[in-house]
Amino acid sequence: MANIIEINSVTKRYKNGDQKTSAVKNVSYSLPKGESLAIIGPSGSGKSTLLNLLGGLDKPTEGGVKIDNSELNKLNDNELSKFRNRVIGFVFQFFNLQEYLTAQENVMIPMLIAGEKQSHAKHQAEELLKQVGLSERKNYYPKQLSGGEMQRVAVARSLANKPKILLADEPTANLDKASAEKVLDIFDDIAKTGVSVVVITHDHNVSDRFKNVLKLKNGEVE
Amino acid sequence: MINLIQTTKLSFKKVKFNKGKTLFVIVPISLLFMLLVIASSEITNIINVAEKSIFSSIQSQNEVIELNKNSTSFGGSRTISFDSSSTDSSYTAADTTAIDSVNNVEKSSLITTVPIKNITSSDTIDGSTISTTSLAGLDGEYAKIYSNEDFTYKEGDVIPIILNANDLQESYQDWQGKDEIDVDLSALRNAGPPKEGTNPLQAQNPNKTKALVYNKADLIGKEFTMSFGGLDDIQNYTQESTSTGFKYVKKTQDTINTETATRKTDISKYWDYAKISKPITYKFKVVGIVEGSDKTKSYVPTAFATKVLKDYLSNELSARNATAIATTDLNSQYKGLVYDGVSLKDDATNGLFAGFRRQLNQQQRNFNSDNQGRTFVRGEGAPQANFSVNFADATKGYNIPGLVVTTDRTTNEVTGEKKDFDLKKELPLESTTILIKVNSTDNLTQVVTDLNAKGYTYRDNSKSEEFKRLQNSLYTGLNIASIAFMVIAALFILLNMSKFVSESRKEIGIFRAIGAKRMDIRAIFISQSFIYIIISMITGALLGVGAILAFSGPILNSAQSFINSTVGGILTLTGSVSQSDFMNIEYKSILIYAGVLLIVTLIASLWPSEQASRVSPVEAIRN
Repeated sequence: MANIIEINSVTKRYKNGDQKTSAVKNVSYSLPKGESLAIIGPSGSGKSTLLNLLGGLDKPTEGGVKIDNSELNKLNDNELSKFRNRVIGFVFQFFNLQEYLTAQENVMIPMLIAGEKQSHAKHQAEELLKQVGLSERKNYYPKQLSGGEMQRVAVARSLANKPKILLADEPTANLDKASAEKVLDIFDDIAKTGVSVVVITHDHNVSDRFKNVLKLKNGEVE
Repeated sequence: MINLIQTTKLSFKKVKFNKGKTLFVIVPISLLFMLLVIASSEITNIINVAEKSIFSSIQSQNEVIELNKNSTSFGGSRTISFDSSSTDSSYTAADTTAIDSVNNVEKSSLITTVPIKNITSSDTIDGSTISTTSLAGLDGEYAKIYSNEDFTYKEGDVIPIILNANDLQESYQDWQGKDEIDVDLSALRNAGPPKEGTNPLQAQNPNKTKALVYNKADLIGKEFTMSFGGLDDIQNYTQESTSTGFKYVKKTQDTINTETATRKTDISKYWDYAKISKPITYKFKVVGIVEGSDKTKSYVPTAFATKVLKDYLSNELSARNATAIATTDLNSQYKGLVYDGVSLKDDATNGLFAGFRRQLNQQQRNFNSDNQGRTFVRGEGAPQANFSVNFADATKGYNIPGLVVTTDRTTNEVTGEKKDFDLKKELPLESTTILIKVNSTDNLTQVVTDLNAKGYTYRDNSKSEEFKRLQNSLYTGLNIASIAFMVIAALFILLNMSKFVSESRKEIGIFRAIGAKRMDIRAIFISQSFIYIIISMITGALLGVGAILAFSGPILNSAQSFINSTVGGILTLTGSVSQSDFMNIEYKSILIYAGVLLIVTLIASLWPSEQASRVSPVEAIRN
C-alpha cells in the first residue's frame, strides 16, 4: 500500500544571526495511506517545524517530503498554495479564526479560495458545522463562541475541501478536558473516513489514542 | 483564487467589523473629498457668476450676434462693437442681403430702436428702479429665438416684452459719507501702472450701478409697468475742475429746488408742464430674457414700438402751445429727437457728447467769423481759438420728451422744430442694429471672421483680459488644491494600508496556510483600500453636494460682496446673479476627481499589498 506521507532524511536549519540551529535533524518517516499519526515531544523538539514541512508552509534545508506522491520541493509558491488548500487541512493551537467572519463564513473561506461558488460553499459549510455539532452556532462570531466551539469551527474549516491529511498543531492545549475530548472524538470520526489525521502534541493522553506515534527530541527521532 | 466579488465581500466585512479604524480613514478622506467637491463646483460657479456679472451670461443664446452701427454705449460699460463698413449712419436691406449670404447665417434682420430716453420701471424686481437703455421692435418670427410665448401685440392688451438681462441693474449714488469727492487725475497723467493704494477712476465716481438678483424662472410671466418719457431728475451734483483733476460736489436741497422751479418756468413757456412731465405708462408681461454681454436690447413687438413712439410724439404735440421757440434754443436749452430729413433718431451722440459737439461747432464758427477772411499767424495778435469745453454747459438744457428738432443732414446744424409728422403713417426710423442668427454656436467664430471679411466689424474684448486673469488665478488655486488633495490622499492610503498590513500579519498567515495565493492577498488588501476610498468618496460627494445646496444662499451673499468689492471696483457689473447660480454642481469634475482618486488609491496600495503578500505564513502563525 502506498504511503500518504514520506519523509526522507529531512533536516531544517534556521539562521539565527551567524549561528545556524537545526530544528529538525535527519528525520525519516513514512505513514501508510488512511492511517493517522501523533507526533509527540517536548517543546523545542522540532515537532512544529516538522508539521510546517509536512503542510508545505516551509521547505526543508536538506531531504525531501513527499505527500500523496507529490514532491513538495518541486512545487512553486502558487502550487504549494493550491496543495495546502486541497490536500491539507490545518488546525491550530489558537484556532486562528477570522474574527470579522461568522463561524459559517470562516468555514467557507477555503472553498472560496478553491474557487467554489458561494452558494455551494455556504451549503457545504453548513454540513460541516453540523458534522462538528455546531449548526446552531453558524452565525456566531468567534468572540461569541467558547474555546472548544472555536476549535470545532476550525476543524470544520480544515475539512472544507475534503483534504487527504488533517494537520493539527496542539489542538487541545488550550481547551478544557471535556472540550478536548470532544475535539479528539471528532478526529477519530474523521480518521474513520480515510483522512490521515496528524496531531502534534506534548500530551501523552492525546498520543495514546494513536496507533502510530513519532517521538521527537532535539529535532531527532527518539 | 478567490473571485473579485468574494474578495470585495470579505474586505467589506473586515472594514465593517473594524469600524473604529475604518472611521479613522474614512472621515478625513470624506472631508477632504467634500471640500474638493465644494471647491470645484463653487470655484466654477464663482467664475461663471463673475463672468455673468461682468459680461452677463454668454452661454445662452449666443448664437445670435447683434451688430451695431457706430454705437458706443457707455450706459453700462457694455460691449463696444463698431461697424466701420461705411460712413452711412444706418443699415439698409442691402446689408441684410449681404450678411445672409455668409455661410451658417440662418437669417439676419434689421432692428429699429425706439428713440426714447427715460424708459423706467419700478415694479420689475423688488421695487428697484430699472431703466431700459435700448428698446427695439422685433417681429414675431425673430422673437422665437428668445421666447416660446406669444409675441403679438394687440391694442389694449398687456404687451409682451423680452427683457435684456443687462437692464436688470439699478443705479445708485455712493458719496462715501462725503459731500465732495475729489478725482485725482495726476496718477493717470504719469506714465506707468497706477500707484499702489490709488482707487480706480470708476470707483471714485459717486454714480454706481449694481446688478440685481433675478431668478429667470420667476421673472418670466411677470407683469409690470413701464413708463416712457417724463422729465429727468434734476442732477443732484456738479462737477468742478481742480488743479489735480476735478471734483463731484453735492448740490444742496435749496439749489435743487430752485433749479426745479426754474425748469418749470422755462418749460411752461412752451408746454403744458403737467402734461409734458407726466410719462406715458403701459403694462408689460415678460415673455423672455435676453442674456449675453453683446446683446444690448430689450424687445417689444414691432407694432408696439411704432405705437409707443407715436404716443410719445403726440403727447408732446398736445402739450405744446403756439409760442415759437428760437432756433438757437433748440437742442441747447430744449433737447429733443433729431430729424435730419431722412431719419428720426435719438441724438446719436447722446446728451453730453452732443453738448461737446455743439460747443466745438460754436467755437469753430466764432473763430471763422472773427477771422473775417484775414490770415492770422499765431502770436501776431490773432484771436486765440480756445476749444476747451465745459461740463456744465455741455449738460445744460432740458430733455423734452417727444420734441423733434430738425437738423441739416450735412452740417448737423439745428434748423427748427418738426411738428408735422403724419402719425398715421410709418415714422422714418433708422436701423443701427442687425440681428444675425447663426445656425450653431460652434460656427460663431467662422461667422464673425466672415463678417469681418465683408467689412462688418464685430468684437467683444473690452473686459476679457481682466476676467481671464481672475479666472486663471481661481483655476490655478483649484488645481493646486486638487493636486495637494491627491498627494495627501495617496500618503494617507499608503500609511494606513502599511499599518493595516502590519496589524494583519497573522490574518495573512492564516489565509496563506489555508491556501490563499499571494495574488489573493494582494487583491484583498487592494480591495480593502478601494472600499475605504469609495465609501469616503460617496460620503464626501454627498456632503459636498448637500453643502452646496444648503449654503448657496450665504455663498451668494459673500460672493456678491466679493465680486462687488473686487471686480465691481474696476468694472461695471451688468449681469445679475441668483442663488441658483451657486447651486450648479460640477458632476463632471467630481467624476474626474473620483477617477483620479481611484487610480491614486490603486498606486498607493500596490506597495503595502505587495508587503502583505510577502508575509511568511510560518512566521505569522507562530506568534
